[in-house]
Amino acid sequence: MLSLCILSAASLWAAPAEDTFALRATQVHIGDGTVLLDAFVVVEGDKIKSVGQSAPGDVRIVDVDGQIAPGFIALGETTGASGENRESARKSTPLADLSHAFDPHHPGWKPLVAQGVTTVLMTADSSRIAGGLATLVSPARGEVVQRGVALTLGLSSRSLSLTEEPTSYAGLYDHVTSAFEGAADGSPLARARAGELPVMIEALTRMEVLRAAGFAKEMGLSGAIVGAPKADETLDVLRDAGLGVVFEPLRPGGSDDVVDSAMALAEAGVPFAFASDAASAGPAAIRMTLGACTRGGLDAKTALKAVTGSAAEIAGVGDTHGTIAGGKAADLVVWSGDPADLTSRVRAVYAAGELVHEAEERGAGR
Amino acid sequence: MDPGPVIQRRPARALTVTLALMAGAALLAPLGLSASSGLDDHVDDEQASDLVLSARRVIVRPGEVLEDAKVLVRDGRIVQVGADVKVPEGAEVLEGEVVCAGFIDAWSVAGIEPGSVRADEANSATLASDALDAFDQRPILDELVEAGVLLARTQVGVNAPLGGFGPLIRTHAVEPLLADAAMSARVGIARGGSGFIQQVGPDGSIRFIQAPPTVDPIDRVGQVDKLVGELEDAEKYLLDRAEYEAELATWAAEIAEKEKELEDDFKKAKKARDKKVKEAEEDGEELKEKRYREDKRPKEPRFDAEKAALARVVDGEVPLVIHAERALEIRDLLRLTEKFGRLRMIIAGGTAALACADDLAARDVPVIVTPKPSEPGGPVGQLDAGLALAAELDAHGVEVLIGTGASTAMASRDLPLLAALAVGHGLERDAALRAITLGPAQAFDVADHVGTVERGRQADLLLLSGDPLSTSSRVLVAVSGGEVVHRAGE
Repeated sequence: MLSLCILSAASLWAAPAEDTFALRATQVHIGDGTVLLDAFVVVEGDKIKSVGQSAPGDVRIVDVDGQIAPGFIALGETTGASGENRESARKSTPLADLSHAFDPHHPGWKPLVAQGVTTVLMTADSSRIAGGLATLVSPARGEVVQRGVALTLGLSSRSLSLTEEPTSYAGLYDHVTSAFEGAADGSPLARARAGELPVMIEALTRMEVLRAAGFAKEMGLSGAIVGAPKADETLDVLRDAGLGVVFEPLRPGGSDDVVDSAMALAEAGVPFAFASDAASAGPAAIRMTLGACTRGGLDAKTALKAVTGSAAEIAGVGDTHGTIAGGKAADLVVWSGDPADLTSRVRAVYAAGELVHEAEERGAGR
Repeated sequence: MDPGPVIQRRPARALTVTLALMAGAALLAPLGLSASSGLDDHVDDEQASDLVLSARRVIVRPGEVLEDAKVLVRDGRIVQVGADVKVPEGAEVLEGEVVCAGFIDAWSVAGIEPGSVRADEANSATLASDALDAFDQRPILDELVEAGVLLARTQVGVNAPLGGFGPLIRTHAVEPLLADAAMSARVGIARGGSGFIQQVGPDGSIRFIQAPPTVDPIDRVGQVDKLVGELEDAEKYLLDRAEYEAELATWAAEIAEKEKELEDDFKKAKKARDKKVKEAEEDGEELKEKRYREDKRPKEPRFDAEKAALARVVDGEVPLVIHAERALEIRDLLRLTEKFGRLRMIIAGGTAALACADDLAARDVPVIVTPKPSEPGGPVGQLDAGLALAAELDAHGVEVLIGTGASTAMASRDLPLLAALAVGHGLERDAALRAITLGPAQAFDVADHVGTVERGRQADLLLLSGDPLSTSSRVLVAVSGGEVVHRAGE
């Protein structure tokens, strides 16, 4: 009956840590928009050793039936945090470390991995003005990959309230401006101003995007706007501020304009990525959003880049994640077809070089 | 252009052969299926409205593909399909990779005025076509058409126990192709069911499934029983009507016989009566005549619109779509409706339908599945197959239809994405395409008119840049009732 099986993590982790092997596929999507045909991805330990048309003669070669792509990177996920990413008594906790909200055993992770997501940026609740430091986690391995990756800022109406300051946009910006200007050297706010720490700024309306982009430019912040409806109408401002965009997932029947915005950003060369938000939208929502974008006319390679290479760049982890290149984490997914196509099936998922999910074709066990 | 004729259901029975033949002829004529409709093999006279879709692959029906073929559309219908179709002079030719039938959402509220969607006061006699709104819904409907969703089986009263008759509409014209495509009902559904619950598998493995919606157990039994009870009442109503009609016919025949006797031998009858009157007068009595049979006319059962509506369902004339999610309700429904031999039941939702898959297959009960990105796509279990539900039901021989779940009108736009999601989780492409074209056309009795790319069918077609379900391909042209209603980039 059970037609899909997930290999238990325990047996996988018993494999030799320094195992070297090569995956060979007819198509290897690098994650930067390019594709190598008939290529090998050589994995050594938890890293990619090389990618190209050849592999060293002495390594075990695994022929995969499908196309290889980098594991998807989801920006903006709160699975398992159950409120632990939200400091409800204080609206500004820039030192809060979101790795403390990470629950490696949460049941929501496996379904997300089964959709090809190998890396997740856990963010603070967006109703906090400065919610803390986002943390990069590996849902398949239950590990924190990197702490303090980006600073989460909430510059939307969700940070305002009637009973607690700030109660207005003016008050909100007064708060963040003084916080940034008075930040001690080496603090997250100061590092963000120095361009050492990317920011993830939530802004949910066109006006909020314009305000946030203006503020980011004034403070010299880099990173992305999360939300950004009608990004196609705020293109110039976003480009001028050097910010990318992280789109929330499309709900079925949702009337958001993600598709139009993504196409406009792609054309203008503004980087964009996607949030998974699987805790509320579901594990397949990030793929559904990709599918909606490609169906609407976004080039499939650009769509794939958004959930791999661009996502890593926006989160500031482009050196270690996001593309298939020597020295980067061996987070790889084998797809039955084009990775950005919703009809493609996940055949296998490797996280840091380990096979963490494998799907049997249905009926195989009958 | 004429959006195409409205189909009417042929009355199930109760008409004499002559009447049925007449009705049949009257129905066939507007559908253009008679000999004079221009469906002769010889098609060469040029017409201003001719349209030719030319593609590398024409998917006549799922699994049946013509390579390098053309489809000739004239006066709203497909008049020729094949590799050797000659393009008439003056015809507009549109080219692409694939031609297939327009997508049909089997479970939708497209085109319905939003206030009516959740009308709790709906009952079996409600006509959802009364709530169609072609004006305020226009921007949404345009998005559906662009996505290739050209037809939808819609309903009102999605939360009511019975929602009445729902039409199958053309999303572009917002006009019913068939006003009474299905009766809708709903059992055992309650809100809630967020988050995950832990489940221990037979092998001791622990897995997590999305928490099912909860409902009071008494309510649940009550809901199924109430629906079945109403079907029983409707069946009784149907039998009472049939009995009445039989009695009426007998009575009418008797009267006719009497009248014929009178007509044939009026003088003799008058003489006999006059004689009787005279005799009575002589005896000083008044003539006691035999009571006229007219007084004994059978009494017509009281008309009941709701029962009459459900009677059409019990009689199998109109299919019944029941929204049921859990195995408990589905099992009860299968068990309690077995006695209605003609009832055509369709389960909608069916999150846990896999547990009843064999029974559903044996009873030929189709299931309208709504693949949701919120469902886990990993482990498969009997109670919740998640995104693999469509594939698993199909493998068990259950007829799978895909619908968007009647949540909002805009949801229907994502029908091809949901079908793609089902393919991405194990459903064969042909089965998925069937689930949004021919499958619903057959389930709702319009397969002679739409759902395939065949000669004589109404022209509800898509021209795409690639495989109909691959999200990498785009809908280039949408043709609804013979009219080009969408061109990519316009």
